[in-house]
Amino acid sequence: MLTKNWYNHLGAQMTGATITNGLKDYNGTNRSAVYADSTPYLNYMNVYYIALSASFKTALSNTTFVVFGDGDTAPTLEDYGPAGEIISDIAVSRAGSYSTDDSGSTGSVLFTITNGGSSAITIREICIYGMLNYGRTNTIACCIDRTVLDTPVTIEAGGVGQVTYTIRMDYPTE
Amino acid sequence: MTEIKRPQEMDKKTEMSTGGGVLPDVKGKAVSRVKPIRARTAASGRVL
Repeated sequence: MLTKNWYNHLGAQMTGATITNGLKDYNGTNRSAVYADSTPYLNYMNVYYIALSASFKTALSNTTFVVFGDGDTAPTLEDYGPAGEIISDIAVSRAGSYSTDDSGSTGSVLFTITNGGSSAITIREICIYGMLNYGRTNTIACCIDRTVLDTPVTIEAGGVGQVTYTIRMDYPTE
Repeated sequence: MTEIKRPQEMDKKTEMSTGGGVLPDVKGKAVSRVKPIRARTAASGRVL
């Protein structure tokens, strides 16, 4: 489910308004959604990284990244991260190139997850983060989508799994 | 020797007059009629 961060970020860029407390960063701190001349891109299909350490979340770059978790609480607009972040023993890579349909309204990206730990892990949720503007030139990592998998994926120790993430825009019709 | 003359127009004063007309009372508001785009996400996985 796309979070209020996603909506408020887009709203600020489209209207030029500053939306007070429109964002909640990765740490749960309220921030204002602010218009910026050069808006960091939010390209879901370019998500490469998993934030296994705080360094990614605090990096001041225009990157988009993913975090996997084992929580399965129902997603809400207020979500600002996974319910249960998996922070160790897994390695994630993007598998191959992304795919889109001809209209660009649907995109999918495939991740390969390797469990390097000594016990099984279960992936139940995926969060996409973007670096959003809380000042004209200031960005911070904010969760823009949290999606709970239809069916959890349990990867045994030493095992490998894949997760496909898809976003689809339903364009309005008159 | 080249002599550069200022264009005669430069010495003229330009005066503008709005006349005594009354602007029409234009009222209106712009409202977007665009329906919101709905975005949905999904994720599925499998063990290899």
